[in-house]
Amino acid sequence: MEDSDKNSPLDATTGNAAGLKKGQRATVILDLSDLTDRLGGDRDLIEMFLEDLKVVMMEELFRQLAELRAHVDRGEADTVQRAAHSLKGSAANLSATALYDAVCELEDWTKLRKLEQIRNPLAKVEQELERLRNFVASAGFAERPL
Amino acid sequence: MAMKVLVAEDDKSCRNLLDVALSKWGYEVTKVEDGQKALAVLENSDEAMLAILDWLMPGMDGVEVCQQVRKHTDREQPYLILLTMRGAKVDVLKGLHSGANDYLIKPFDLELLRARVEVGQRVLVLQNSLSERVRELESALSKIRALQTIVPVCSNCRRIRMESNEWKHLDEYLIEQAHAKVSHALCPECAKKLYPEFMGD
Repeated sequence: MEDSDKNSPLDATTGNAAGLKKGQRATVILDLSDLTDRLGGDRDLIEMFLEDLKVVMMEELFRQLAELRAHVDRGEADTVQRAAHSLKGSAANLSATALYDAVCELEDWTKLRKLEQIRNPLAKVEQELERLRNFVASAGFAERPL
Repeated sequence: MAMKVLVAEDDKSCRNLLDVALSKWGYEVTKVEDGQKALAVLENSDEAMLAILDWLMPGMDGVEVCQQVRKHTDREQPYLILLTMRGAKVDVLKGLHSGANDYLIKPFDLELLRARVEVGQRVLVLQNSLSERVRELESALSKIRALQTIVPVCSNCRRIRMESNEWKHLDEYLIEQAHAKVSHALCPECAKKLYPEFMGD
């Protein structure tokens, strides 16, 4: 990472991975450099993706979360695990690192089939999803240079 | 003509991204959101296509789609890429053993995906070419078999009895049965008999 990137206006507000110390991974809301890299630096695709993120993808994430909550309330351990796995995939696809980490923790608990103990991990996922929504909704998010 | 690609993915954002990227790369994309629909598309396609299948989908999952598709050994086989977050060795093995040609772990890199799709495209082109060659060889073989039967020949006029019970000359037999092209000439003995003044001694 070049020196200029450490003082980038992106860093403080996007939680870009630049300058992160060990153990600070969870504060990265959206890893734009990872996203750019995975999309091959294709500007058209990146812009389309970020535009989609604002509405379509956020709706999809909240829909998945609502579905997961419903399965938890019904005590359906198998479907909770599948729902957590799907949500994890969506978060990873978006390079939403903090959300991804929170869902990983939740998924680990679902594998143990101890639904009574997933309230806290679930709350953390909800918190990270809200953070992501707030970040995405922030003014000028999609217009920032990549 | 653009190659057809099927995208079977229940995650809307991932499905949209794949659709846009593949279309941009020149492929004709069909999108579905579950395994049953994916299987229906693959089974009803009149040509072998490439499919990108998510593992975890409602109803029938990607692995089961692969297994069902591979049961149809009498038709052109599609090229199947399994897309999943499951990266453990046991999962990769399960995916490949189910009949997938390739396995890509999410979150995927688009450049890698493109390279893998192009590999699949090359395989399908080769497969089509081989199938065409086999059809040509089978056609040729059936003609050879037709000529290898015992041929009834008139012991006097040397005409040949056809399958229709008509008696025809050798040239007509060769044209009909072997689809040969025939040119007519005179052998030296006949030429000498018919035109002795030109043949000399």
